Amino acid sequence: MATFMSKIVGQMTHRERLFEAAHKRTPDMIPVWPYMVNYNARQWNISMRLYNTDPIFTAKGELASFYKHRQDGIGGFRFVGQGACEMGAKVLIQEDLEPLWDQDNLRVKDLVKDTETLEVPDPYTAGPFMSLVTSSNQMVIEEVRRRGIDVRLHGRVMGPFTVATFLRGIEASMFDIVERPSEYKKLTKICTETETVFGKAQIDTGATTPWISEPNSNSDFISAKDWDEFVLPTLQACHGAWHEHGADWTMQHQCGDSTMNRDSLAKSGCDTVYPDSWKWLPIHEYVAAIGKKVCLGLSLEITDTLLLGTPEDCKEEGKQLAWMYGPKQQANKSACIFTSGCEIAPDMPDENLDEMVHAPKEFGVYPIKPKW
Amino acid sequence: MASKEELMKKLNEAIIVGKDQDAIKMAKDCLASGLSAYDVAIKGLAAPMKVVGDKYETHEYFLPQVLFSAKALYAALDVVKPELEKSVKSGAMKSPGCYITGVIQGDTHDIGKNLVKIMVESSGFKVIDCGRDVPLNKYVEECKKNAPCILGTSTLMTTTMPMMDKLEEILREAGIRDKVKTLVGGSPVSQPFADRIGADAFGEDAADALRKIKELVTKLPKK
Repeated sequence: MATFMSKIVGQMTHRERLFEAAHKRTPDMIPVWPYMVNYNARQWNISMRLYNTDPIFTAKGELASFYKHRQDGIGGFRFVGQGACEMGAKVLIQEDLEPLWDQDNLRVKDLVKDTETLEVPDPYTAGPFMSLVTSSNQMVIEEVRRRGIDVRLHGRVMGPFTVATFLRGIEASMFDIVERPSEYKKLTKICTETETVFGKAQIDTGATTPWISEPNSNSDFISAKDWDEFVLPTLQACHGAWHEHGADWTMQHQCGDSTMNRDSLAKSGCDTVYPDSWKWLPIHEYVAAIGKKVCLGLSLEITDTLLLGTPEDCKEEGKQLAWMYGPKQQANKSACIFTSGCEIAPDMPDENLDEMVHAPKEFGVYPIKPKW
Repeated sequence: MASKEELMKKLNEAIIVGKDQDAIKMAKDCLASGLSAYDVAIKGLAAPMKVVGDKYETHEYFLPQVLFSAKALYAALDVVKPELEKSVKSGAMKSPGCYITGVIQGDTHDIGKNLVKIMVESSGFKVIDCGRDVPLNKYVEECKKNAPCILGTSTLMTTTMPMMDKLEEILREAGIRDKVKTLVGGSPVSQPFADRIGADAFGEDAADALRKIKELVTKLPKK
């Protein structure tokens, strides 16, 4: 079968490996799916502006990274302001840097009046980012199908609370949740509708694993109580709608410190929870508290190891993660995936990513037997 | 008639619970009672802001509570500032140093930078806030004007971390690196990264940044 051309006898395809882990079953080895965005531009040797504005280059960048490193999933495009920009938040496109959120021109200056004027954008035509994503998704999927490669594509969506902060501004949002919670929830409601529609469109265009990132609601920002009140319902709405729409796997990432809302992350309706770096989060507590309920993303340290470390450092960290948590998740009748917390740096050494992708082959083959 | 201690205590409470109108009233009452602007600033405003910082660090407070306290702090500071400036001009009060800050070129995420600014400003430092997405040359200009000084930059994105490296380079090229102590911070930034680019310190969070700034100011060359 053409779709299984990438399969080596006795091994799973990229898609099978991720799918088994996502559903808390045992794959052949721990899958690897780092969070790659602007790194993809460098793989194709194009500017970040081109990668972030032209779907052809977006797709080529994603494919170039995949062909070079053969990680288990292809990372769909993501910009933190996507969704918000299509609703009117301003963005500045830069030549050699990531697009820039223009905080001096906020869309929702008057919480009540301006929220009433917001509309859910059409993800196929609204730009700059939604239409870029839906177009590039189709190109990537067509290409991998043509080549007979069995691999999944992320459908990256921003958390509705974070989208609301992009429209309203972070400081104003923090005051609003205390002073005008009902009005602020009307803003998060339309942001939820926007992201729900965007996720569905991504599923329809082949990115069948919607993945939410929530950078602006970790415990550097709000309390666990506020998270449950303002964030959790928005995520439950998204994950629920996508599952109903045919997604067989959804993921939830919380940037930064999520220890206080760790249990709630597992209640969001996702299949995989993807916390930030294991170097500064107590991942053993995540394993104990929610490891049975969801597949866990284990994040290698993005700066000290993946960017600044040597290939040997990446290999060693992969070994430690696989041996420390692989067996524990197996005992939990669950699974884990290697990932990278936040976006890997564009100038991360290629050989470090190669070692990250290689580490499970050496240390993460099931049944995992640590040899400390 | 409330004693000076009682007035100061009420000012502290207004800052800690983030009541800006109460803070304005208490700052006025403190000055009217004969307390010096310096005492009101340090004991009335900086001390409770330190409590707020500690509460944030231990997750008793979160960003909304810190921002309400900061709003109360700045409202009270507006009352005290004219008197403070007179004290500084007369030599009765000395600022511990100058802190220049901004979000590095290419990034606009400024909440971390603002938190550090609040802590540093309330500790009596002269603060120059260059804002967000600050061109590297702007930092050099401000450092030339204000050296010796501390320069703190932040970023939330891996894509803009190399700008911090470039900033170190252009400070050296401008011949002012020895008159400036640099501090870097932000989510993807780490101590090994700070070491690699040659920054003088890394601030893990707002409270840590303040500690490092207080250490760095003792290492600055004399004017």
